[in-house]
This record gives sequence, C-alpha cells and structure tokens, in this order.
Amino acid sequence: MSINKILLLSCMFFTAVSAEAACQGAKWEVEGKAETICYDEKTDVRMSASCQEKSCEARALVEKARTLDLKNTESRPKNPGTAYCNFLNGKVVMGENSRGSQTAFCKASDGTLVDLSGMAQHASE
Amino acid sequence: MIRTSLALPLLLVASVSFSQTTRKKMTFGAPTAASVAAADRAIDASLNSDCSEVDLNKGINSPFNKIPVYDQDGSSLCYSFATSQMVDYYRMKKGDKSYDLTNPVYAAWATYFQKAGTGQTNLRGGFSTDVNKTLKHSGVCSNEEVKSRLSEFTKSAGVTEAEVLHFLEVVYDNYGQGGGKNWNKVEKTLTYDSNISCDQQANLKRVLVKKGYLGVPSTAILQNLFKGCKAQPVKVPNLKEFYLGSDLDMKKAVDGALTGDMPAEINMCSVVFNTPKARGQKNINPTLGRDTEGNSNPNCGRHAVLVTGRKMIGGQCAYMIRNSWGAYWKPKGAMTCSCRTLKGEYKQACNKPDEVDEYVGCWFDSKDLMANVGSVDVYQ
Repeated sequence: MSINKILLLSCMFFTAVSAEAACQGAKWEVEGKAETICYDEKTDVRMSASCQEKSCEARALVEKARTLDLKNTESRPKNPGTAYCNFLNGKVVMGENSRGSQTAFCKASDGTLVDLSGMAQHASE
Repeated sequence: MIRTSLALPLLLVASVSFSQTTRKKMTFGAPTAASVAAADRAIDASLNSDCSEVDLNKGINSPFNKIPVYDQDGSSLCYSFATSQMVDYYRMKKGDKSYDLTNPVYAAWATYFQKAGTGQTNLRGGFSTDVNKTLKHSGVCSNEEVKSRLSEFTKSAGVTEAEVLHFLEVVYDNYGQGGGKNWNKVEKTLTYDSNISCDQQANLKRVLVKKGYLGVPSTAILQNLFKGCKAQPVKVPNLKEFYLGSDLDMKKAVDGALTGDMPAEINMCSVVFNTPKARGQKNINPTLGRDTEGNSNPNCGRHAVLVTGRKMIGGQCAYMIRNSWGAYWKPKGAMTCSCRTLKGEYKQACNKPDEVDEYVGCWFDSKDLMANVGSVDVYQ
C-alpha cells in the first residue's frame, strides 16, 4: 500500500470519528426515513446531522428566518414555526422517535431538516 | 357545559368569606401603598410556600418513561391530549397493563360520540372531565388499533392522527354541508393554522375520495373507521375540577395532586410560556369560573397541559409543565427544561442542548404560572 493511500485512509477515518464525536444525534423517523438530528451551536437550533459537515439549506432557512418578523395572528395555539417554514418555501413534516414522541421539522429543498419550534424561537430573537 | 364537582360550592364559600374578612379590615382606614405592597408580598410568599420537591418523571418506574411527548399540531385537542396522559399515568402507576396507550384522537372522538345528537360536527375544544368520564364509561380502543385503522390516511401523507382529524374537520367546514365545496378555502385554512402542506393535503384528499368520505363530518368518518374495535376498560377515578378562587387556591389544588404522586391537569393561558409576566387571567367576577371568557384577557391563548413536578429554583417555587407541542418545546419564559438525554437518562435541568434527545417538560415560576391558571383537574 502506498504512502498516499495510507494517508487518505487515515484522513477518512479521522474525519468520520470527529464527525461522530461532534454529534451523537437524536434519531427520528420522518416521512418513513430514518434521520439524525443534531444541535447546532452556531445557530442554537437542531438540524440534520449532515449540516455539521457541510453547508445545507436547513441552515440557510434558519438564517433567513432571523431576518423575518411574521406576526402570528392565529388565536388557537399552534407551532409558530409553521408560518416561517411556509413563508420560506420549506415543507413542514412530522417526526416520530422510538418512544412514539412527536415533533415537527421544516424540510428544506435539499432534504435537510430543521426543528420547527427552534426556528421560530431563533426568528423572534 | 355543566360542572358537577361537589367541592366547588365549598371553595366558593371559602373564597367569599375570605374576601369579606378582608373588606371588614379595610373599613378601619383607606389602604395605603405600603399596606397594599405588604398584602402583595404576603400573597407572593404564599405562592412560594409548600414547595417540597416532587418530580413525577424521576425514577425508572415513572409512567412518563412510557408515555410519548406528543405534538397536537393545529388540532385544538389539547384537552384530550392532556387527559389521555392523565389516564395513562394513573393506569400505569397502578400497574394496569390491559392496553398500551390512550390515543388522544380516539378519546376526543369517543367523548363527542357520547354527546351524539347535540349537532356537534367537530371535536375542537372540550372539557377534560367529559373525556375522563367517557373513557371510564365506554372504554377505549387500543393505541395500536387506532393507529392501524387511521394508517391509510397517516401513511399517505406522513402525518399524525391529530393532523388527520384536523384535516377532516377543515374539509367538512369548507367543503362539506354548508361549506360551499370550496377546496381553495380548505388549502388556505390548513396552510395557515396547521403543519399540513399542500402536497400532504392532496394525498389525504385522494384517500378521502377513494373511500367516498369527501365532505362527510369527521365524527361520522371516525365512527366508520373505529367500528367493531374492541373497547378496553379504563379503570380511573373521576376528575375533580377547581375553577373558582384565588391564584393560591389553584396552587393548593395542584399541590394536592402532586402530594398524592399524581399529575394535575391545568387549563391555562399559554401566553405565559414566552412572556412570564403576562397575566392572562383577570378574575373580575369571582363568582364565575376563572376559565370563562369574561375572566380572561384576549391574549390568553387558552390551553390544557399537565403539571408533573414542583421544586425551588433560585429561591422561587417552580412547577413543571408537560405540553403537547412536540419533543423540542423549550419556550423562552421557562426557568429551565427537563429532558431525556441521548443516553436515555432523565435529567431535571438540561443545560447542554447537545445531549438532549427530547424535552419532557419545562419549569415556570409559581407566581407567574398560577396567575394564568383558569382551572385545575385532579383525580379524586
């Protein structure tokens, strides 16, 4: 095995280990698919694990939501994140974990997810 | 709605006699700013007293380890979500394993069905006492069975049972009898007040059309879907409701439940979740229920949740609220939130967001919370 190959394999190994160490992630089933959701320190919002390693649309939605001020005039209690997600052309999807607990996410055009209530909280700050 | 609790007249009498005593004292001289401030301090102190720690989420045997954290979405079924969890907590605490979980959508429908003939065509809003009474009387179809019977709807669009119900209600309102067959209005309403997207609405509509249910009341559709389901008996006591009196009376009612290792269901103003100093209750008329329209401010945001703990935080008595707004609910007004970690452990104060698997409840200052409580329901 050449030195280059060894270096490449070591690099891949350490990248995988560091990504895992950075985010253990919560497991959710969304639209029949298994998803890993991680807390993102930079935005203080939970989003798809893949957003930890590269840029993603979910993060872009959070950044855009920050610039918005959508007044929720609905009298019945509901998740205010819905208004932000819809406004930004995201799709609201419901997730369920192994305990049967539920929570809503905003799905971006590249398929990455962001916690709906966290997104609204972020927007209104 | 008629309220039936025998304890209520007593509470009313107690409340009135207290205020009469206060008024008699006041005749000795006009209240000074200092005396008013002293009275306020005394009330604050009372709301901060009797705060020994209770946390129903603690321990490997806590029923809350097995009860999911729900997301009711736009369904307005908070009363049913809260009561279903009260029922399951009681059953599990007593070792009843006769069925899995009480499905909140089924519970709401069964409650409506008991009142068939009233002309009601939706399940929006209701009383926890009615839900508990109905489940006791008629039993419940198991959660697994309910999920299976609604699966054609839920799987077609990736939505929850509560969302299916909300969809059916909005379709009936805008497309059914008297609704003018206006699908645009259905889309507009659902996009505005729920998490159900246009694609999901289209998928759900396809199932409705296929089954011949388009424009039929949700209650009738559910009646058809639940037909023949084996009812499991629900062995719980009656709920006792407290809706008159002071903030302190509400605290005492909640404390009574927690002391008996049981949660309390509260009907409250949700405005306090993000704005702790908000006062959704007005209590202008003490002879009317605290939760009536006349005694609530317009920004109240009436909602039903469970109280599952009590403890001192930073010198203030605090209560833990278990909500049905999803597993990541962590409002700005909370003092702290409790969670289940990614390792599966329960943690009372979760200060590291990256270790959270799901939040199971958040803590609020006793004084702020009780000033927003409209009524309290506890098991007798």
